[in-house]
This record gives sequence, structure tokens and C-alpha cells, in this order.
Amino acid sequence: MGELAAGIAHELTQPLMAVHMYSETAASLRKRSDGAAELEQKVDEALEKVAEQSLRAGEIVQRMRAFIGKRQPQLTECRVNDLVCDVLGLLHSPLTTGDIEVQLKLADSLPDVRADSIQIQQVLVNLIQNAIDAMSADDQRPRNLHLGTRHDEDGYVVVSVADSGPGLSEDAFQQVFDPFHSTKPAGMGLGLPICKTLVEAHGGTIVARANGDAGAVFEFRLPVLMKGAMNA
Amino acid sequence: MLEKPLVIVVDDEAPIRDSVDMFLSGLGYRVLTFASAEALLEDLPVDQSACLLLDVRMPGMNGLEVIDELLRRGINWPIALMTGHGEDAALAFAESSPATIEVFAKPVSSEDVAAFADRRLATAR
Repeated sequence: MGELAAGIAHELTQPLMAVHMYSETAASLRKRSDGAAELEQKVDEALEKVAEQSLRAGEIVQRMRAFIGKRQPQLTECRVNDLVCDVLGLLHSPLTTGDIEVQLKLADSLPDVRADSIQIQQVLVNLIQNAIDAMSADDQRPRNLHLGTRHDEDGYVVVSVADSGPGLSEDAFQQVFDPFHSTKPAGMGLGLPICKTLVEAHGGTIVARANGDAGAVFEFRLPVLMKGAMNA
Repeated sequence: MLEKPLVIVVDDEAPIRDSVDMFLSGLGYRVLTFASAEALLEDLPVDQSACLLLDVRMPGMNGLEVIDELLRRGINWPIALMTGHGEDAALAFAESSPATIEVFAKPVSSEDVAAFADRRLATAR
């Protein structure tokens, strides 16, 4: 959450500094204007920009709220395979429209995890939507989405989302979970930082890496529910 | 009539460039703005008595790298480094650099910007 907060602080700094500068400009011009039309016009211009930039700051805050939501996490016993299938159902339309072939490799007899199912679905929606966006931007490549689950030796349930899109540069992989580092033209750069925050709040981890020669793999791990842990 | 003193603003954020430009122009300075370090270096003003308001973190060449490059080209303008990501690295750089550097945390106040320009351009003249 620290990185996310730092990113938001940085993003809000820009419009706040601009609002401050424009309003100080308006104030100092007003003092000297003495009714001169040219200066009055400059004052109006500065005030319009104050309004514009304060709206921008407000939009950043609203986008954050929409992403994070206000609900408390509701932890229940969850079957991760079911969550994956539910999300595929939710994203049926963009997957079909994007002409994307889905390959599912879900482990049998996967142990349950203790999780907020909505939040984990939110993570999955985000990762799959990113994969769809990455693959839809390129007509030359095959569009294969691999979704997999497995139970690793450390006792975690691992979920992987792999695409055959153009992938990311080494630098971009390094920064992929940093707030406000979107590679999409209209992206806010908050989707993946929030995924990271949500997964870590569940005691899990999330990583990103190249998918062989083409595309990206995002993989998150959630701790397995211990017998009796829910009642503790 | 003497030419007005020049302040150069380099920041990748358009609202910062525009608002600082408007503010300093209102105070009677000449202002030039650049969206990147590369743009500044490509179109470098020859005015030796300018001062520079410089963002630290920008895509491409960052603010610290551009200071080194300016020094290499024999330009030693007084510099206000504006940082939005903690001041420690910028302060350490300012300490070790031969350039005259002041460090400001964003959001920088209009008072600080005006005082910097006033102080630095008064000494440059």
C-alpha cells in the first residue's frame, strides 16, 4: 500500500501545484490590473485553469475510490478454480470479440484458500483484461490466453495468466506494479498496483515475467486454507 | 530597454510548465518552457544569465543527467531542482555537483519559485 500511496501523492502533486500557481497568478494580476482589459482577461484565464486542474485532482481521487471500493474484505473459503471459471464467464464477450482462444489448465483437487472472492475476481478480471488489451493491439500474432492453477510445494495455490501479446520490455516488467506507469494510451496505471495490494492483503505474492519469446505471464500465489483456521 | 531576465522551466507535466510560465511571466520574467531534457538540449538558449527550474524525474534523460550535460557544455546556470519523489537523492547530487543547485519538494510554492528567480537572477546580473 505504501507504493500506491506514494504514487497517488505524486499524481495529485501535479494538479495541486498548478492550482496554486494559477491562483497566485490571478491574485497578483488582480492587484495590478486596475481594470486594464488585457490583465483582467489573464486573470480569467488563470481562474479557468484553476477550475480545470482542481477537476483533474478530483478525477484522480474518484478513480481511486472506484478501484479500491469501500467494502471491508469478506473472507470465506474459496475454490480458486471456480473463481477462474466465474471470471471467464464475466469476460466472455470481450474474449469472443477479441477472437481470443482460451486454454484452461486447472489443477484437480486444488485445496481451498481463505479469500475475499470478489477481490480475487477483481484481480483476475484485471489480469485477463490486460492480456486481452495486449493481444488485441496486434493483428500479426496468435491470440492465446492460458489460464492455469496449481498447488505448489510451499503450500500455495498458484494462478497464472499468460498471453501471446507483444510482451513488455525489461524496464517495463520492472515497473509493472508501480503506480501510474501504464503502457496503455488511456491507462491510469492503477490496475496492477491494486492487484498487488489485494493479493498481498491475502498473504500472497504476484509476479510478472516474459512468456518465452512472446507475451507476458502474471502469476499470483495465495496461501492455502489450513484445516480449522477459519474458526481460529 | 534592458531585456527581461530569463527563467527556463523543464518539466514533463504540461500543467506545471504552463502554470509556472504564467506566474513568472506575470512577475515580469521572460520564460521558456521545455517538456523534456532532450528538447532543452536541442534548442539550448545561449543566454548566459538565465536560471533553470528543472524537474528531476522525466521520461528519457532525467534532471540530474541534464545538469551534468549542461556543465559539459560549459553552461552553469543556477538551478532549482523540483522533486516529487523525496529529496534525499537530489540533495546528495546537489552537494557533490559543481553547479549551483537548490532543491525543492513538489508541490513547490509560488513564493519559493519567485524567491529563487529573484535571488538567482539578481546574482547572475
